[in-house]
Amino acid sequence: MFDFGGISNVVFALGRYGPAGVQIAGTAFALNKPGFFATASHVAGTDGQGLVLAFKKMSSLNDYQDTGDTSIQMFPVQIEAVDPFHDLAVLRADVEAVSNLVIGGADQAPVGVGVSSFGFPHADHGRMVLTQQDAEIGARVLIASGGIKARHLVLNTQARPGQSGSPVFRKSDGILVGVLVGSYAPGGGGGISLGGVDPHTLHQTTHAVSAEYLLKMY
Amino acid sequence: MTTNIDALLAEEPVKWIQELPQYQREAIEKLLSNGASFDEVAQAWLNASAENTYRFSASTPVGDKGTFLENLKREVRAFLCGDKKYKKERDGLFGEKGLARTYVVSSMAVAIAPHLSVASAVISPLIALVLASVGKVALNAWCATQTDAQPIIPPDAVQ
Repeated sequence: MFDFGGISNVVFALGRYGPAGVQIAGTAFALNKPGFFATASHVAGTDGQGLVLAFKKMSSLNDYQDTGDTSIQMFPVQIEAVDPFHDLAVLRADVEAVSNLVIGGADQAPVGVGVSSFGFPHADHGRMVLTQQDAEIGARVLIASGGIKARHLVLNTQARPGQSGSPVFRKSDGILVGVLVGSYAPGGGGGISLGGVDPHTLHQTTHAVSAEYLLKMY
Repeated sequence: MTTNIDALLAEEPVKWIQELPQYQREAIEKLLSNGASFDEVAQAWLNASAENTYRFSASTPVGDKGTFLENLKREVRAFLCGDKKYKKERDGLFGEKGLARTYVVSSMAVAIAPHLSVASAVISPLIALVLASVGKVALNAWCATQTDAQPIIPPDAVQ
């Protein structure tokens, strides 16, 4: 199994800085080129103003993350490239952060393979806890977006708001195979909300777009 | 002053698309080959969203995509046809010798983006699509047909 011990240095919360502080929108991660990061394009949005990558100092993912500590560190990022058809965005910051990421894709994640994703579930409620979720690939699917069909992975796990943009790694060797973008919902969901939760999303069919589409973006 | 941009507009409109980055060009060319117009592709770019997928962002989308393309077109017309708010950028761009399409698109994107509160990277391909939709026509002739365009004022006539 791959050692994800240093993952807290690679995965960040992506938020927008405003008068009320930072509102976390989702997850982003460092690419293998200094200062470059990736996320889902719907997390980055269209406006580069006030975008920041936020993090808390951690020595490893095994640290006890203090949920009562609302202080964060952050640095600004700009939108460098956007691919809405594949729901991916590349961000750029004036920092030296870099990962030793190996980018693969859905071809490297056949059905049944174990994967790990890292992100910030429940960020819509202000919770900022870097969380690992392990799952197996349940299916590989083609999903159309704006008339363009793209390769996606179905992860057999439930995801929550804040996890879009999470990197999805193959557990055996740490190759990036996907970027989490949402979950199956008939018609895209959004029709019903119970306490802020769309019941159509309460299941274990999470979608991640194949990471291969990142390769041409930076 | 418009000679350089006229030379680019005189060539095949699809050249504006062919010089986009590969990851943008491939998707746009696929939609065009399926019979979509430049306008329809631009709208598809703006509205793209994986079918039957609920997005797990913790923020709400920004802006009204229904009117965004019209607003972008208005800004492109303003830039190309001489609106004074783009005078500096327009004079700088049109004064360049040997204009390249990639430079035109990126320069216009950087100039227009703040007026629409978007990142320039978001609108670059849309500007290429709008320029392609202008077709083979001299800029002055095109501007004369645009109802909300400002009159073109030669830069040396403006103090």
